Amino acid sequence: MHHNSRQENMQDFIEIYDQYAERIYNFIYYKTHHKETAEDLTSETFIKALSKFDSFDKNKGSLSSWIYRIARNTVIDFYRTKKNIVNIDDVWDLSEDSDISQDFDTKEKLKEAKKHLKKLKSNQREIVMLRIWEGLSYKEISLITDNTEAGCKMAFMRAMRALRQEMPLHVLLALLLF
Amino acid sequence: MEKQIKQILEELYLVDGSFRAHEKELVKIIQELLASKPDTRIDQNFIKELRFKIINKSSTKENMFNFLFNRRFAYVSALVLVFVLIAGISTFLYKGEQNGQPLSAEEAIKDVGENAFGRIYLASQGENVQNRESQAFGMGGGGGLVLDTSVYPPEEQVNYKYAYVGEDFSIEENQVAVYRKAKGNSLGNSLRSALAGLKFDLVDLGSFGSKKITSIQISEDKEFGYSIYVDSINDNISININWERWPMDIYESPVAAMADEKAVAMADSFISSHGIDMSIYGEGEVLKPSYRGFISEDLTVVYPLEIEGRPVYDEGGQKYGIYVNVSSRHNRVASVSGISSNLFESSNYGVEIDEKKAVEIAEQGGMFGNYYYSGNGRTVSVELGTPEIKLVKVWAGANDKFVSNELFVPALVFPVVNNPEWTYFYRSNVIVPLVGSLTESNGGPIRIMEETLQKDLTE
Repeated sequence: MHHNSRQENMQDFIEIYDQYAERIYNFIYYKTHHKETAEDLTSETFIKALSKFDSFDKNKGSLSSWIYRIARNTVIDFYRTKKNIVNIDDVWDLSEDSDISQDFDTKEKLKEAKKHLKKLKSNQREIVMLRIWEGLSYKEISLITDNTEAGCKMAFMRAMRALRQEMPLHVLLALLLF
Repeated sequence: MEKQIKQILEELYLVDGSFRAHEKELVKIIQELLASKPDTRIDQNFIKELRFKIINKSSTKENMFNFLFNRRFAYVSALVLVFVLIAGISTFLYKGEQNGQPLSAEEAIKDVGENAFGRIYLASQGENVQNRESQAFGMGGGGGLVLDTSVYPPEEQVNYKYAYVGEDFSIEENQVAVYRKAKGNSLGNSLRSALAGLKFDLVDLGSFGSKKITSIQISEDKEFGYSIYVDSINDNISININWERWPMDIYESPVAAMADEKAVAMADSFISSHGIDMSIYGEGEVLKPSYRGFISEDLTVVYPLEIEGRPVYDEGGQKYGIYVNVSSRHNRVASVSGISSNLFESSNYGVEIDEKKAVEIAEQGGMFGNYYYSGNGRTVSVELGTPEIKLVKVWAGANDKFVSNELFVPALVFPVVNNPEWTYFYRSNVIVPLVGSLTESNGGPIRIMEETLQKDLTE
């Protein structure tokens, strides 16, 4: 990123922070289900972003995809370091009896949905969360996920198809009665 | 919610129209997902605090030295800086700085012609004996950690009589190379550019001219952290315990010193993990304490300096180089000293003594001198074997001015061969330099009451 001075650079970064802080926190919370962990990882994300801000090249990707990528990798690093295994990306990949802290009410609230959401692919789940929970447009999601808008729509469609097929018959019947 | 669901569905139908047939199911699924959305419980105070932290961080980034005066980030940033400094020392060499050569990790010796250091007056270390109670032991900087728990044997009045028992030897060399550490002032020069960005609110630093950083001290703010002192005038770095973050209780009894092998391994590990360049230093070995009977919890591991492949000794005859103090009580390294430039100047000097004179000086205790207790002191005979020529680090003055200069001079090293009964003062070698003047007026060996000693021995 080209800036006239460090002061301008700093102003730019603070604007970015103001714009993305809550979104990044939410994004991380959806992947951790734990307030303190989400705060720590949000801090880490922005400190990393600040340290690399000078080298950010907007010609190689959008700012939002850059900062979300840092957040995503920070979460992955957190779980992989914590569990000392390589196939965990976020809280959704943890087993039910995991001893990693999760907020109780979030765990309860997600109890039913989690059974189905955790069977989605990681990128599909991320798009569902961003589209439904965060209410972002596909254009915004495409910038965050480094994907095309059409690709995001396809991924969301596949996720919905999977959820339809995943929902057990008695749940669907119950849903349809209301 | 209805509007959002409707929009999601419309977009979905555009991708795959067949979904329209399952609209009721899809609405329920989306409703279910929306209902299960976690309450992220974002804390606005956290957002504000992080914002403040980022602004502070950025200020630190903008001016790399302002952090030294910002307590909140001083230690973290300082730690980063010191490792950059230690690791970066090796890269400063020959960067073409003005007014000095950058500090180097690679040995570089520059021939500066004959007698380039002027007339050499050698300083004795004899005074150290008399002042020993006031000194920190362990050879390394900051080695006072164990003083409270070390046990000194009662001082006994013992006189040592040195006698040469070795074979005949000859000094073949007419000229020998003397080395001097080149004071490149490289750290000061290298840091000078950083000074340009240094700002204080209280004083306009820009109003002062020809500024340079002469020293900085940096501390790790963590349990068992270290304090790193960078002396940019003499181009050396020492690492000591951060007193504020190490337990400083007064212990009632000493703990047993760890095994030598463990101390060396611990020192090796510390050196490796902190990137200290050892390219002109030999293997580490535990240094014998200069004072026999001195019970220390600490062990000093010395990595002997080797100039052009020749190991260097100190005035007392012990190996000289980088010293790593290892604390047995805390099971970790307590200090490192002697990290310095590997740049030397070399100058040829004529050998000033012959074999007879060398033996005479050796029998007076050599460069370290000798002491004599008057009265009823015991006398112990110390036998010296055939000498070898080795390099010895000395502090010397040039010409008629006694300005400290660290020189490395070839010297005859006479080994102590009879395993005498030392009391508190231990020596393994007696040193006699081949060049330079040993005179009392210039701090040479003190030969107190030598005549009286001779008289005692003959009686």
